[in-house]
Amino acid sequence: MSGKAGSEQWGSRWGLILSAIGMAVGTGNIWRFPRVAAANGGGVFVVALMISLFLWAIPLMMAEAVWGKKSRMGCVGSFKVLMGKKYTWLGGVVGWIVLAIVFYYAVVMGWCVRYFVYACMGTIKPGLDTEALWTAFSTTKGAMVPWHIISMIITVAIVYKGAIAGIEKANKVLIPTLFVLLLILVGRSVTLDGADKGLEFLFHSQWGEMLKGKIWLEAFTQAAWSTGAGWGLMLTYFVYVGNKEDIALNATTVCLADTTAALLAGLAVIPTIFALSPDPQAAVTSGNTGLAFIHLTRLFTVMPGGTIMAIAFFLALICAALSSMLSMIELGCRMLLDMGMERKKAILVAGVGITILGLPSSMSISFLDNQDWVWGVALLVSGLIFSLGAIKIGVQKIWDEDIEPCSDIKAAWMWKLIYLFPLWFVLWFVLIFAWWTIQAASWYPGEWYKWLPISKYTFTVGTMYYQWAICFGIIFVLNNWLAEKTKYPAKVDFD
Amino acid sequence: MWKLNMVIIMIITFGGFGLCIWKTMVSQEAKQKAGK
Repeated sequence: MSGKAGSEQWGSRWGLILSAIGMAVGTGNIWRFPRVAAANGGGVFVVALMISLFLWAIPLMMAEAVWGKKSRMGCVGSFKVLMGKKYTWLGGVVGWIVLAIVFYYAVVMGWCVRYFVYACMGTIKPGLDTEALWTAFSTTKGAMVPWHIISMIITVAIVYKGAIAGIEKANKVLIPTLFVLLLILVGRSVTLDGADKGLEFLFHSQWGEMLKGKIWLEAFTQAAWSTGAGWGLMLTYFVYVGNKEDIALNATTVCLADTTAALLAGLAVIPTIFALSPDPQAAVTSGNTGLAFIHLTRLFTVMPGGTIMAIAFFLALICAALSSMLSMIELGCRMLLDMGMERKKAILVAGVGITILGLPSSMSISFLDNQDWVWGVALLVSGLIFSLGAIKIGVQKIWDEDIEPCSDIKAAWMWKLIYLFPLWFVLWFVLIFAWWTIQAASWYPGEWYKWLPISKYTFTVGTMYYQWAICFGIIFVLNNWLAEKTKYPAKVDFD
Repeated sequence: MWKLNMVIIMIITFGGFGLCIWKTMVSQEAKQKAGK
């Protein structure tokens, strides 16, 4: 197999694995996992997360891999081929949810690029008011726009130049770099005076907490949102694999790599906060952006060698964000290729479209928060669509025909856990989602059903359901058109 | 106690990932030999 620039196939298995790890490891591993793990029992949470990987993420990744490899088409086309023409719209829903996320994720990557530049320019130095810096950057009209556009240009340039081989080449640099940077940050973090308090906070474990529902909810949520299982990204990458490419081992490797990166980030972040912050609890409970751009940035200003650490930290965030962005752009691009568009044109259309549709999020942080709320929650729907699809086609049939013959590990039980998904649907989606909805309704007493203006009703229940209904409704109506247009699979005929 | 927890968690996480990498390497080697 070759991996020449512009080619439509992975150059090697390691290229595929590194790219899939890049897809899974995102900014959430670095700024979400440490604080969620620390707030939910530490070690107990990690064990619950590992179990959740097997119960949720790995079977879903395997399902996605089958979808892509068998159909040789992206989200929309694969559902048409595997489930029938009338289910094409379900693939459209999966694809749309990820595109809606990438519109604002490009803005998030822009933040990381901006702070990396701050670090390189020496802005992050003693005496800096990090809260004022973040507030000015995130609320000044138009301040985030150039960084959003820069992050899109970087991403599109990589895919435009080399197609799949370009993504592979970039990830062969980005992922090792990310892990090396995390190791450097861990090395510095755990050698700070007082770091052991942070380690104790992260790994304190009352094993009886395993019985708490909240721990499992957080662990499942982390497994779903961190690994990217059920997003259609693994599906897209598996369009370009050889016919004999393994599924089960690759899916397991990607999920465990994701948790490894998250744990390293935990070891880098939590001890630093406990060693240097006057109020560690406030930092840990300050949310993702508060943790990264206010509290940690403040610690870099007082830490010996802080400038270097700040550069390493924000570069690690860029590596994580960029490697995920590449897969999201390719997801959009693949759907256009399936409609017969030429690749370079498809990349430009996807790139320009995402840049334009990301502008509202880059101009208003409340719009970005709203989109994160609406489409982040919708990911639960995506996962369910894949699992119900697998059950409809036949779980045993898929194992016998598509997974077992090419798998390096013959662990049918891992795949068959997908049978439990309807149970998760009842437990998680119905009960917890209903609870969640009631909770969210209480944030806006008497106005929970309103959604406009979005800046006022950012997190209402109404905004979520209205936007879902509009987008999913349009995609449903377009079902036949999508099925008719999507008919050009990738040509991959090597082992 | 937390130190023991830390060691257990690290063995499970890093060990699991390492095991996957090792298995991939072994499988690749076997496939290459079979290919020859």
